[in-house]
Amino acid sequence: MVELTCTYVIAPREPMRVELLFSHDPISFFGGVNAADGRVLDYRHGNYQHSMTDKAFAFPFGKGSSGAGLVLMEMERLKTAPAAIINIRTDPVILTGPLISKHFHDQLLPVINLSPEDYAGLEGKKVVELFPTGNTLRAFNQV
Amino acid sequence: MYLTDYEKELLDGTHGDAMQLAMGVLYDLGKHYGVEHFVEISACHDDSTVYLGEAQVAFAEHLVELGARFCVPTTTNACALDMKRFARQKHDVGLMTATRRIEAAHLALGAIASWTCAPYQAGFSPAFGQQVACAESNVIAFVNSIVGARTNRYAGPLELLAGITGRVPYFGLHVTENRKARGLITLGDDITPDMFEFDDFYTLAAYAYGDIVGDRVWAMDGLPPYISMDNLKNMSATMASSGGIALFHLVGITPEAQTLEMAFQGEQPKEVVTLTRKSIENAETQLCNGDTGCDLDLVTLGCPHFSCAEFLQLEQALGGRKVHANTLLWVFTGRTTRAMLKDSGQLHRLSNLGVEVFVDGCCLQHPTQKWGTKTFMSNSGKFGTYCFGLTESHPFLGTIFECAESAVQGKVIREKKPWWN
Repeated sequence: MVELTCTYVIAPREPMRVELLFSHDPISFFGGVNAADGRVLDYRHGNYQHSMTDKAFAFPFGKGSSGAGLVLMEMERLKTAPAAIINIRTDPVILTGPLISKHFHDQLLPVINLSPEDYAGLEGKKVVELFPTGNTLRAFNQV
Repeated sequence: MYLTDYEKELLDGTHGDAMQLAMGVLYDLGKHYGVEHFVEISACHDDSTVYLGEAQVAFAEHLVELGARFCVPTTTNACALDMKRFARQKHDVGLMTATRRIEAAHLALGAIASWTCAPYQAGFSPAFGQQVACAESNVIAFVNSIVGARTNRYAGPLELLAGITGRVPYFGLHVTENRKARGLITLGDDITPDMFEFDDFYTLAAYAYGDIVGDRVWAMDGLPPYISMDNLKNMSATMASSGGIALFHLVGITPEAQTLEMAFQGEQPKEVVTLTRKSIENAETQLCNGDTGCDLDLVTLGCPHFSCAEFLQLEQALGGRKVHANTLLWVFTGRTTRAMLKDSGQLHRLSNLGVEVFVDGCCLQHPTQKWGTKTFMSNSGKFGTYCFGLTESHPFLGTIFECAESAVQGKVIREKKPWWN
Protein backbone atom coordinates (compact mmCIF):
# COMPACT_ATOMS: atom_id res chain seq x y z
CA MET A 1 0.00 0.00 0.00
CA VAL A 2 1.16 3.54 -0.70
CA GLU A 3 -0.35 6.76 0.56
CA LEU A 4 -0.13 9.59 -1.97
CA THR A 5 -0.72 13.31 -1.54
CA CYS A 6 -3.55 14.59 -3.70
CA THR A 7 -6.06 17.38 -4.17
CA TYR A 8 -9.75 16.55 -4.11
CA VAL A 9 -11.21 18.80 -6.81
CA ILE A 10 -14.51 17.07 -6.08
CA ALA A 11 -14.38 14.83 -2.99
CA PRO A 12 -16.64 11.80 -2.45
CA ARG A 13 -19.39 12.02 0.16
CA GLU A 14 -18.22 8.80 1.87
CA PRO A 15 -14.88 7.01 1.85
CA MET A 16 -14.73 4.77 -1.21
CA ARG A 17 -12.61 1.81 -2.30
CA VAL A 18 -12.60 1.11 -6.05
CA GLU A 19 -10.65 -0.70 -8.70
CA LEU A 20 -8.10 1.43 -10.57
CA LEU A 21 -7.76 1.73 -14.35
CA PHE A 22 -4.44 3.49 -14.95
CA SER A 23 -2.76 4.85 -18.05
CA HIS A 24 -0.04 7.24 -19.20
CA ASP A 25 -2.10 8.37 -22.20
CA PRO A 26 -4.39 11.39 -22.33
CA ILE A 27 -7.91 10.65 -23.57
CA SER A 28 -10.72 12.20 -25.59
CA PHE A 29 -14.06 11.00 -24.21
CA PHE A 30 -15.70 11.92 -27.52
CA GLY A 31 -14.57 9.38 -30.11
CA GLY A 32 -12.30 7.71 -27.56
CA VAL A 33 -14.87 6.17 -25.21
CA ASN A 34 -18.08 4.23 -25.86
CA ALA A 35 -20.71 5.82 -23.62
CA ALA A 36 -22.97 2.77 -23.99
CA ASP A 37 -20.57 0.32 -22.31
CA GLY A 38 -17.83 2.47 -20.76
CA ARG A 39 -15.03 0.97 -22.87
CA VAL A 40 -12.06 2.79 -24.38
CA LEU A 41 -12.47 2.93 -28.19
CA ASP A 42 -9.19 4.63 -29.11
CA TYR A 43 -6.76 1.94 -30.27
CA ARG A 44 -3.86 4.31 -29.60
CA HIS A 45 -4.75 4.44 -25.88
CA GLY A 46 -3.12 2.12 -23.33
CA ASN A 47 -6.51 1.06 -21.95
CA TYR A 48 -7.97 0.20 -25.37
CA GLN A 49 -11.08 -2.01 -24.94
CA HIS A 50 -10.91 -1.83 -21.14
CA SER A 51 -14.02 -0.69 -19.28
CA MET A 52 -13.82 2.30 -16.93
CA THR A 53 -17.31 1.75 -15.51
CA ASP A 54 -17.35 1.96 -11.69
CA LYS A 55 -13.54 2.20 -11.61
CA ALA A 56 -11.24 5.07 -10.72
CA PHE A 57 -10.05 6.04 -14.21
CA ALA A 58 -6.57 7.58 -14.14
CA PHE A 59 -5.28 9.45 -17.21
CA PRO A 60 -2.80 12.33 -17.06
CA PHE A 61 -5.03 14.94 -18.72
CA GLY A 62 -7.84 15.28 -21.23
CA LYS A 63 -7.29 15.86 -24.92
CA GLY A 64 -9.28 16.25 -28.09
CA SER A 65 -12.92 17.06 -28.55
CA SER A 66 -14.78 19.34 -26.19
CA GLY A 67 -17.72 16.89 -26.48
CA ALA A 68 -16.28 15.18 -23.37
CA GLY A 69 -18.69 16.96 -21.01
CA LEU A 70 -21.75 15.66 -22.84
CA VAL A 71 -20.31 12.14 -23.11
CA LEU A 72 -19.57 12.00 -19.37
CA MET A 73 -23.08 13.25 -18.55
CA GLU A 74 -24.55 10.53 -20.75
CA MET A 75 -22.31 7.92 -19.12
CA GLU A 76 -23.63 8.98 -15.72
CA ARG A 77 -27.19 8.63 -17.02
CA LEU A 78 -26.47 5.16 -18.42
CA LYS A 79 -24.51 4.14 -15.28
CA THR A 80 -21.39 3.44 -17.37
CA ALA A 81 -19.36 6.34 -15.94
CA PRO A 82 -16.14 5.84 -14.00
CA ALA A 83 -16.54 5.97 -10.20
CA ALA A 84 -13.81 8.62 -10.00
CA ILE A 85 -11.40 10.50 -12.28
CA ILE A 86 -7.72 10.88 -11.39
CA ASN A 87 -5.53 13.35 -13.34
CA ILE A 88 -2.30 15.27 -13.12
CA ARG A 89 -4.34 18.27 -14.23
CA THR A 90 -8.03 18.56 -14.98
CA ASP A 91 -9.04 21.05 -17.63
CA PRO A 92 -12.59 22.45 -17.84
CA VAL A 93 -13.46 19.94 -20.59
CA ILE A 94 -13.10 17.05 -18.15
CA LEU A 95 -14.44 18.96 -15.14
CA THR A 96 -17.67 20.04 -16.86
CA GLY A 97 -19.56 16.75 -16.51
CA PRO A 98 -18.74 16.25 -12.81
CA LEU A 99 -19.53 19.91 -11.95
CA ILE A 100 -22.90 19.87 -13.70
CA SER A 101 -23.79 16.56 -12.04
CA LYS A 102 -22.98 18.07 -8.69
CA HIS A 103 -25.00 21.27 -9.09
CA PHE A 104 -27.88 20.22 -11.32
CA HIS A 105 -28.32 16.53 -10.41
CA ASP A 106 -26.89 16.42 -6.89
CA GLN A 107 -24.59 13.52 -7.84
CA LEU A 108 -20.90 13.40 -7.02
CA LEU A 109 -18.30 12.06 -9.45
CA PRO A 110 -15.06 12.58 -7.51
CA VAL A 111 -12.17 14.24 -9.37
CA ILE A 112 -8.67 13.98 -7.92
CA ASN A 113 -5.40 15.65 -8.96
CA LEU A 114 -1.90 14.30 -8.21
CA SER A 115 1.56 15.68 -8.91
CA PRO A 116 3.32 13.96 -11.85
CA GLU A 117 5.54 12.05 -9.34
CA ASP A 118 2.63 10.84 -7.21
CA TYR A 119 0.65 10.06 -10.36
CA ALA A 120 3.48 7.78 -11.53
CA GLY A 121 3.20 6.05 -8.13
CA LEU A 122 -0.22 4.70 -9.18
CA GLU A 123 1.25 2.57 -11.95
CA GLY A 124 0.71 -1.13 -11.35
CA LYS A 125 -1.71 -0.51 -8.47
CA LYS A 126 -5.06 -2.32 -8.55
CA VAL A 127 -7.26 -0.53 -6.04
CA VAL A 128 -7.53 2.99 -4.61
CA GLU A 129 -9.20 4.36 -1.49
CA LEU A 130 -10.56 7.90 -1.67
CA PHE A 131 -11.71 10.06 1.25
CA PRO A 132 -14.25 12.86 1.78
CA THR A 133 -11.72 15.04 3.64
CA GLY A 134 -7.97 15.44 3.80
CA ASN A 135 -5.40 15.43 1.01
CA THR A 136 -4.34 11.82 0.60
CA LEU A 137 -5.45 8.70 -1.20
CA ARG A 138 -4.29 5.13 -0.74
CA ALA A 139 -3.32 2.74 -3.53
CA PHE A 140 -3.04 -1.05 -3.16
CA ASN A 141 -1.33 -3.75 -5.19
CA GLN A 142 -4.16 -6.25 -4.81
CA VAL A 143 -7.93 -6.23 -4.94
CA MET B 1 -12.88 35.52 -4.79
CA TYR B 2 -14.02 39.05 -5.58
CA LEU B 3 -17.57 39.18 -6.89
CA THR B 4 -19.43 42.27 -8.14
CA ASP B 5 -22.81 43.03 -6.54
CA TYR B 6 -24.48 41.66 -9.66
CA GLU B 7 -22.45 38.44 -9.49
CA LYS B 8 -23.40 38.02 -5.83
CA GLU B 9 -27.05 38.35 -6.86
CA LEU B 10 -26.61 35.73 -9.57
CA LEU B 11 -25.22 33.38 -6.96
CA ASP B 12 -27.85 34.05 -4.26
CA GLY B 13 -30.81 33.45 -6.57
CA THR B 14 -32.04 37.04 -6.95
CA HIS B 15 -32.10 36.54 -10.73
CA GLY B 16 -33.78 33.15 -10.69
CA ASP B 17 -32.93 29.46 -10.51
CA ALA B 18 -31.23 29.20 -13.90
CA MET B 19 -28.78 32.01 -13.12
CA GLN B 20 -28.13 30.64 -9.64
CA LEU B 21 -27.34 27.10 -10.86
CA ALA B 22 -25.25 28.35 -13.78
CA MET B 23 -23.28 30.75 -11.60
CA GLY B 24 -22.85 28.01 -8.97
CA VAL B 25 -21.08 25.77 -11.49
CA LEU B 26 -18.88 28.63 -12.78
CA TYR B 27 -18.06 29.73 -9.22
CA ASP B 28 -16.98 26.16 -8.35
CA LEU B 29 -14.85 26.06 -11.49
CA GLY B 30 -13.27 29.37 -10.46
CA LYS B 31 -12.53 28.00 -6.99
CA HIS B 32 -10.76 24.98 -8.51
CA TYR B 33 -8.46 27.24 -10.53
CA GLY B 34 -7.97 29.67 -7.62
CA VAL B 35 -9.26 32.67 -9.57
CA GLU B 36 -9.58 36.14 -8.08
CA HIS B 37 -12.52 37.39 -10.10
CA PHE B 38 -14.79 36.81 -13.12
CA VAL B 39 -14.48 38.38 -16.57
CA GLU B 40 -17.36 39.37 -18.84
CA ILE B 41 -17.51 37.73 -22.27
CA SER B 42 -18.71 39.27 -25.53
CA ALA B 43 -19.76 36.09 -27.36
CA CYS B 44 -20.24 32.37 -26.94
CA HIS B 45 -20.05 29.36 -29.28
CA ASP B 46 -22.43 26.56 -28.32
CA ASP B 47 -21.17 23.03 -29.04
CA SER B 48 -23.86 21.13 -27.12
CA THR B 49 -25.51 20.46 -30.45
CA VAL B 50 -24.33 17.09 -31.82
CA TYR B 51 -26.58 14.50 -30.19
CA LEU B 52 -24.42 12.39 -27.91
CA GLY B 53 -27.18 11.14 -25.66
CA GLU B 54 -30.41 11.88 -23.87
CA ALA B 55 -28.65 13.56 -20.90
CA GLN B 56 -27.67 16.48 -23.10
CA VAL B 57 -31.18 17.04 -24.50
CA ALA B 58 -32.73 16.80 -21.05
CA PHE B 59 -30.20 19.32 -19.72
CA ALA B 60 -30.91 21.91 -22.44
CA GLU B 61 -34.67 21.48 -21.96
CA HIS B 62 -34.22 21.83 -18.21
CA LEU B 63 -32.44 25.17 -18.74
CA VAL B 64 -35.36 26.36 -20.89
CA GLU B 65 -37.87 25.29 -18.21
CA LEU B 66 -35.89 27.27 -15.66
CA GLY B 67 -36.29 30.36 -17.87
CA ALA B 68 -32.67 30.68 -18.97
CA ARG B 69 -31.66 32.96 -21.89
CA PHE B 70 -28.28 33.70 -23.45
CA CYS B 71 -27.20 37.25 -22.61
CA VAL B 72 -24.40 37.40 -25.22
CA PRO B 73 -24.58 36.47 -28.96
CA THR B 74 -24.32 32.68 -29.00
CA THR B 75 -23.78 30.66 -32.19
CA THR B 76 -24.71 27.01 -32.61
CA ASN B 77 -22.08 24.48 -33.68
CA ALA B 78 -22.74 21.74 -36.21
CA CYS B 79 -25.37 19.22 -35.13
CA ALA B 80 -25.43 15.51 -36.02
CA LEU B 81 -27.15 15.67 -39.41
CA ASP B 82 -28.54 17.78 -42.24
CA MET B 83 -31.89 18.84 -40.80
CA LYS B 84 -33.59 18.82 -44.22
CA ARG B 85 -31.71 16.00 -45.98
CA PHE B 86 -31.19 13.55 -43.09
CA ALA B 87 -33.11 10.83 -44.98
CA ARG B 88 -30.63 10.98 -47.89
CA GLN B 89 -27.84 10.56 -45.33
CA LYS B 90 -29.69 7.47 -44.00
CA HIS B 91 -29.77 8.92 -40.53
CA ASP B 92 -32.63 7.44 -38.56
CA VAL B 93 -35.69 9.37 -37.54
CA GLY B 94 -34.81 8.97 -33.85
CA LEU B 95 -31.62 10.96 -34.31
CA MET B 96 -33.54 13.55 -36.30
CA THR B 97 -36.14 13.86 -33.53
CA ALA B 98 -33.45 14.28 -30.91
CA THR B 99 -31.73 16.92 -33.07
CA ARG B 100 -34.98 18.85 -33.47
CA ARG B 101 -35.41 18.81 -29.69
CA ILE B 102 -31.87 20.16 -29.33
CA GLU B 103 -32.66 22.81 -31.95
CA ALA B 104 -35.88 23.85 -30.20
CA ALA B 105 -34.23 24.10 -26.79
CA HIS B 106 -31.16 26.01 -27.97
CA LEU B 107 -33.21 28.46 -30.06
CA ALA B 108 -35.49 28.98 -27.05
CA LEU B 109 -32.35 29.91 -25.10
CA GLY B 110 -31.76 32.55 -27.79
CA ALA B 111 -29.03 30.92 -29.89
CA ILE B 112 -28.22 32.12 -33.42
CA ALA B 113 -29.02 29.25 -35.82
CA SER B 114 -25.57 29.12 -37.43
CA TRP B 115 -25.12 25.32 -37.17
CA THR B 116 -21.49 25.31 -38.14
CA CYS B 117 -18.16 24.21 -36.68
CA ALA B 118 -16.40 26.99 -38.62
CA PRO B 119 -18.40 30.01 -37.35
CA TYR B 120 -15.32 32.17 -37.93
CA GLN B 121 -15.81 31.58 -41.69
CA ALA B 122 -19.53 32.29 -41.51
CA GLY B 123 -19.46 35.85 -40.22
CA PHE B 124 -19.18 35.05 -36.51
CA SER B 125 -15.64 35.82 -35.48
CA PRO B 126 -14.68 37.76 -32.37
CA ALA B 127 -12.07 40.52 -32.61
CA PHE B 128 -8.46 40.35 -31.44
CA GLY B 129 -8.17 40.43 -27.65
CA GLN B 130 -11.89 39.92 -26.92
CA GLN B 131 -12.89 37.63 -24.07
CA VAL B 132 -15.25 34.88 -25.29
CA ALA B 133 -16.40 31.40 -24.26
CA CYS B 134 -16.15 28.78 -26.97
CA ALA B 135 -16.74 25.08 -27.02
CA GLU B 136 -15.72 22.84 -29.98
CA SER B 137 -12.05 22.04 -30.01
CA ASN B 138 -11.24 23.46 -33.47
CA VAL B 139 -13.16 26.67 -32.80
CA ILE B 140 -11.31 27.11 -29.51
CA ALA B 141 -7.90 26.61 -31.15
CA PHE B 142 -8.72 28.82 -34.14
CA VAL B 143 -10.28 31.67 -32.19
CA ASN B 144 -7.39 31.74 -29.68
CA SER B 145 -4.54 31.22 -32.10
CA ILE B 146 -5.51 32.68 -35.47
CA VAL B 147 -7.88 35.44 -34.30
CA GLY B 148 -6.21 36.21 -30.96
CA ALA B 149 -9.48 36.33 -29.00
CA ARG B 150 -9.41 34.61 -25.61
CA THR B 151 -11.19 31.46 -24.54
CA ASN B 152 -10.45 28.37 -22.51
CA ARG B 153 -11.40 24.90 -23.67
CA TYR B 154 -15.04 25.02 -22.56
CA ALA B 155 -16.85 21.74 -22.99
CA GLY B 156 -20.50 21.32 -23.74
CA PRO B 157 -22.64 22.16 -21.79
CA LEU B 158 -20.41 24.46 -19.69
CA GLU B 159 -20.38 27.07 -22.49
CA LEU B 160 -24.19 27.31 -22.20
CA LEU B 161 -23.77 28.45 -18.60
CA ALA B 162 -21.17 31.05 -19.68
CA GLY B 163 -23.55 32.32 -22.38
CA ILE B 164 -26.41 32.51 -19.88
CA THR B 165 -24.47 34.40 -17.22
CA GLY B 166 -22.29 36.36 -19.70
CA ARG B 167 -19.13 35.69 -17.70
CA VAL B 168 -16.46 33.14 -16.85
CA PRO B 169 -13.85 32.82 -14.11
CA TYR B 170 -10.76 34.82 -15.08
CA PHE B 171 -8.15 32.09 -15.49
CA GLY B 172 -6.20 30.12 -18.06
CA LEU B 173 -6.12 31.61 -21.53
CA HIS B 174 -8.23 34.62 -20.56
CA VAL B 175 -5.08 35.91 -18.83
CA THR B 176 -2.22 37.44 -20.92
CA GLU B 177 0.55 35.74 -18.93
CA ASN B 178 -0.84 32.26 -19.64
CA ARG B 179 -0.85 32.85 -23.39
CA LYS B 180 2.94 32.94 -23.43
CA ALA B 181 4.64 30.13 -25.36
CA ARG B 182 6.75 27.89 -23.12
CA GLY B 183 8.34 25.64 -25.70
CA LEU B 184 9.29 25.87 -29.35
CA ILE B 185 8.96 23.52 -32.30
CA THR B 186 11.45 24.20 -35.08
CA LEU B 187 11.65 22.56 -38.49
CA GLY B 188 14.62 20.28 -39.12
CA ASP B 189 16.91 20.68 -42.13
CA ASP B 190 15.24 17.74 -43.84
CA ILE B 191 11.93 19.66 -43.97
CA THR B 192 12.32 21.42 -47.31
CA PRO B 193 10.25 24.28 -48.80
CA ASP B 194 8.83 22.05 -51.57
CA MET B 195 6.80 20.31 -48.83
CA PHE B 196 4.98 23.61 -48.12
CA GLU B 197 3.23 23.27 -51.50
CA PHE B 198 1.21 20.28 -50.26
CA ASP B 199 -1.79 21.05 -48.08
CA ASP B 200 -1.49 17.71 -46.27
CA PHE B 201 1.98 18.72 -45.04
CA TYR B 202 0.33 21.26 -42.72
CA THR B 203 -2.12 18.64 -41.44
CA LEU B 204 0.70 16.18 -40.72
CA ALA B 205 2.85 18.84 -39.07
CA ALA B 206 -0.16 19.80 -36.94
CA TYR B 207 -0.74 16.18 -35.92
CA ALA B 208 2.90 15.90 -34.83
CA TYR B 209 2.65 19.23 -32.99
CA GLY B 210 -0.41 18.11 -30.97
CA ASP B 211 1.22 14.78 -30.19
CA ILE B 212 4.38 16.48 -28.86
CA VAL B 213 2.86 19.49 -27.14
CA GLY B 214 -0.19 17.82 -25.53
CA ASP B 215 -2.23 20.45 -23.68
CA ARG B 216 0.46 23.13 -23.33
CA VAL B 217 1.03 26.48 -25.07
CA TRP B 218 3.98 26.34 -27.46
CA ALA B 219 5.08 28.06 -30.66
CA MET B 220 6.17 26.73 -34.02
CA ASP B 221 8.73 28.47 -36.21
CA GLY B 222 9.52 28.05 -39.88
CA LEU B 223 6.16 27.80 -41.66
CA PRO B 224 5.75 30.13 -44.65
CA PRO B 225 3.74 33.35 -44.15
CA TYR B 226 1.56 32.64 -47.21
CA ILE B 227 -0.15 29.68 -45.48
CA SER B 228 -3.87 29.71 -46.38
CA MET B 229 -6.75 30.38 -44.01
CA ASP B 230 -8.05 26.86 -44.64
CA ASN B 231 -4.70 25.30 -43.79
CA LEU B 232 -4.76 27.30 -40.56
CA LYS B 233 -8.27 25.97 -39.95
CA ASN B 234 -7.22 22.37 -40.60
CA MET B 235 -4.14 22.78 -38.43
CA SER B 236 -6.28 24.09 -35.56
CA ALA B 237 -8.63 21.12 -35.86
CA THR B 238 -5.85 18.55 -36.16
CA MET B 239 -3.76 19.81 -33.23
CA ALA B 240 -6.87 19.89 -31.06
CA SER B 241 -7.47 16.21 -31.92
CA SER B 242 -4.02 14.65 -31.61
CA GLY B 243 -3.43 16.87 -28.58
CA GLY B 244 -5.46 19.07 -26.25
CA ILE B 245 -4.24 22.25 -27.95
CA ALA B 246 -6.26 25.35 -27.08
CA LEU B 247 -3.71 27.94 -28.26
CA PHE B 248 -0.72 27.67 -30.56
CA HIS B 249 1.56 30.33 -31.96
CA LEU B 250 3.05 30.28 -35.46
CA VAL B 251 5.97 32.68 -35.50
CA GLY B 252 5.53 35.42 -38.09
CA ILE B 253 1.96 34.30 -38.81
CA THR B 254 -0.42 34.34 -35.84
CA PRO B 255 -1.22 37.69 -34.20
CA GLU B 256 0.38 37.11 -30.81
CA ALA B 257 3.56 35.75 -32.38
CA GLN B 258 4.61 38.24 -35.04
CA THR B 259 8.12 37.69 -33.66
CA LEU B 260 9.69 34.95 -31.56
CA GLU B 261 10.08 37.45 -28.74
CA MET B 262 6.36 38.29 -28.81
CA ALA B 263 5.37 34.63 -28.68
CA PHE B 264 7.53 34.07 -25.59
CA GLN B 265 6.63 37.46 -24.07
CA GLY B 266 10.31 38.37 -23.88
CA GLU B 267 11.43 35.10 -22.28
CA GLN B 268 13.41 32.17 -23.68
CA PRO B 269 11.87 28.83 -24.72
CA LYS B 270 12.13 26.33 -21.86
CA GLU B 271 12.25 23.44 -24.29
CA VAL B 272 12.95 23.14 -28.03
CA VAL B 273 11.90 20.17 -30.16
CA THR B 274 12.82 19.74 -33.81
CA LEU B 275 10.20 18.43 -36.20
CA THR B 276 11.84 16.20 -38.79
CA ARG B 277 10.79 14.30 -41.89
CA LYS B 278 10.48 11.30 -39.58
CA SER B 279 7.84 13.16 -37.50
CA ILE B 280 5.88 13.87 -40.68
CA GLU B 281 6.14 10.21 -41.76
CA ASN B 282 5.00 9.04 -38.30
CA ALA B 283 2.02 11.39 -38.41
CA GLU B 284 1.12 10.03 -41.83
CA THR B 285 1.19 6.48 -40.45
CA GLN B 286 -1.31 7.56 -37.76
CA LEU B 287 -3.62 9.46 -40.11
CA CYS B 288 -3.46 7.56 -43.37
CA ASN B 289 -4.16 3.94 -44.19
CA GLY B 290 -1.12 2.31 -45.78
CA ASP B 291 -3.04 0.29 -48.39
CA THR B 292 -2.86 1.64 -51.91
CA GLY B 293 -5.11 1.47 -54.93
CA CYS B 294 -8.09 0.04 -53.04
CA ASP B 295 -11.70 0.82 -53.92
CA LEU B 296 -13.12 3.87 -52.25
CA ASP B 297 -16.62 4.05 -50.72
CA LEU B 298 -16.76 7.58 -49.37
CA VAL B 299 -14.79 10.78 -49.80
CA THR B 300 -15.86 13.06 -46.99
CA LEU B 301 -14.82 16.71 -46.89
CA GLY B 302 -15.60 19.57 -44.57
CA CYS B 303 -14.15 18.70 -41.16
CA PRO B 304 -14.25 21.52 -40.07
CA HIS B 305 -16.99 22.79 -42.41
CA PHE B 306 -15.85 23.53 -45.97
CA SER B 307 -15.23 27.14 -46.97
CA CYS B 308 -15.96 28.98 -50.23
CA ALA B 309 -12.23 28.85 -51.04
CA GLU B 310 -12.18 25.07 -50.54
CA PHE B 311 -15.21 24.64 -52.81
CA LEU B 312 -13.32 26.56 -55.52
CA GLN B 313 -10.36 24.17 -55.13
CA LEU B 314 -12.70 21.18 -55.29
CA GLU B 315 -14.39 22.35 -58.46
CA GLN B 316 -11.05 23.06 -60.09
CA ALA B 317 -9.78 19.61 -59.11
CA LEU B 318 -12.84 17.86 -60.54
CA GLY B 319 -12.40 19.77 -63.80
CA GLY B 320 -15.91 18.91 -64.98
CA ARG B 321 -15.47 15.15 -64.39
CA LYS B 322 -18.17 13.17 -62.59
CA VAL B 323 -17.80 11.32 -59.31
CA HIS B 324 -17.37 7.55 -59.88
CA ALA B 325 -20.60 5.52 -59.72
CA ASN B 326 -19.34 3.37 -56.82
CA THR B 327 -18.05 6.27 -54.73
CA LEU B 328 -19.79 9.00 -52.76
CA LEU B 329 -18.33 12.49 -52.52
CA TRP B 330 -19.94 14.27 -49.59
CA VAL B 331 -19.11 17.79 -48.49
CA PHE B 332 -20.23 19.25 -45.16
CA THR B 333 -20.63 22.99 -44.78
CA GLY B 334 -22.66 25.66 -43.03
CA ARG B 335 -25.86 27.31 -44.24
CA THR B 336 -24.19 30.63 -45.09
CA THR B 337 -21.49 29.02 -47.27
CA ARG B 338 -24.11 26.92 -49.02
CA ALA B 339 -26.18 30.04 -49.74
CA MET B 340 -23.18 31.72 -51.36
CA LEU B 341 -22.39 28.54 -53.26
CA LYS B 342 -25.92 28.50 -54.61
CA ASP B 343 -25.86 32.17 -55.62
CA SER B 344 -22.60 31.72 -57.50
CA GLY B 345 -24.01 28.80 -59.54
CA GLN B 346 -21.35 26.51 -58.10
CA LEU B 347 -23.78 24.35 -56.13
CA HIS B 348 -25.64 23.54 -59.33
CA ARG B 349 -22.45 22.71 -61.21
CA LEU B 350 -21.04 20.54 -58.40
CA SER B 351 -24.37 18.72 -57.99
CA ASN B 352 -24.31 17.86 -61.71
CA LEU B 353 -20.95 16.18 -61.13
CA GLY B 354 -22.39 14.05 -58.35
CA VAL B 355 -21.03 16.04 -55.41
CA GLU B 356 -23.47 16.04 -52.49
CA VAL B 357 -23.40 19.12 -50.28
CA PHE B 358 -24.86 18.83 -46.79
CA VAL B 359 -25.40 21.56 -44.22
CA ASP B 360 -25.77 21.65 -40.42
CA GLY B 361 -24.32 18.22 -39.77
CA CYS B 362 -20.99 16.65 -38.96
CA CYS B 363 -19.10 14.16 -41.15
CA LEU B 364 -17.98 12.28 -38.01
CA GLN B 365 -21.59 11.19 -37.51
CA HIS B 366 -21.66 9.14 -40.73
CA PRO B 367 -24.09 6.19 -40.39
CA THR B 368 -21.43 3.69 -41.44
CA GLN B 369 -23.45 0.53 -40.89
CA LYS B 370 -26.43 1.69 -42.95
CA TRP B 371 -24.17 2.54 -45.91
CA GLY B 372 -21.83 -0.42 -45.42
CA THR B 373 -18.96 2.05 -45.75
CA LYS B 374 -15.60 0.27 -45.58
CA THR B 375 -13.14 2.83 -46.97
CA PHE B 376 -13.03 6.53 -46.20
CA MET B 377 -10.89 9.33 -47.58
CA SER B 378 -10.70 12.87 -46.28
CA ASN B 379 -8.45 15.92 -46.23
CA SER B 380 -9.01 16.31 -42.48
CA GLY B 381 -6.58 15.43 -39.72
CA LYS B 382 -9.44 15.65 -37.25
CA PHE B 383 -11.51 13.13 -39.20
CA GLY B 384 -8.39 10.98 -39.53
CA THR B 385 -7.87 11.00 -35.76
CA TYR B 386 -11.41 10.05 -34.78
CA CYS B 387 -12.48 7.89 -37.74
CA PHE B 388 -11.32 4.52 -36.38
CA GLY B 389 -12.92 5.07 -32.94
CA LEU B 390 -16.23 5.86 -34.64
CA THR B 391 -16.21 3.46 -37.60
CA GLU B 392 -13.47 0.86 -36.93
CA SER B 393 -12.00 1.76 -40.31
CA HIS B 394 -8.62 3.41 -40.95
CA PRO B 395 -9.22 6.32 -43.35
CA PHE B 396 -7.01 7.69 -46.12
CA LEU B 397 -5.70 11.23 -45.97
CA GLY B 398 -5.19 13.37 -49.05
CA THR B 399 -5.27 16.91 -50.31
CA ILE B 400 -8.51 18.23 -51.81
CA PHE B 401 -6.98 17.52 -55.23
CA GLU B 402 -6.20 13.90 -54.29
CA CYS B 403 -9.65 13.47 -52.72
CA ALA B 404 -11.30 14.75 -55.92
CA GLU B 405 -9.12 12.59 -58.16
CA SER B 406 -9.87 9.54 -56.00
CA ALA B 407 -13.60 10.26 -56.09
CA VAL B 408 -13.51 10.45 -59.89
CA GLN B 409 -11.53 7.23 -60.29
CA GLY B 410 -13.36 5.37 -57.51
CA LYS B 411 -10.13 4.30 -55.88
CA VAL B 412 -7.52 5.85 -53.64
CA ILE B 413 -5.08 7.99 -55.60
CA ARG B 414 -2.24 9.79 -53.85
CA GLU B 415 0.64 11.55 -55.49
CA LYS B 416 4.23 11.06 -54.36
CA LYS B 417 5.17 13.42 -51.56
CA PRO B 418 8.59 14.99 -51.02
CA TRP B 419 8.73 13.50 -47.49
CA TRP B 420 8.41 9.95 -48.88
CA ASN B 421 11.53 7.91 -49.51
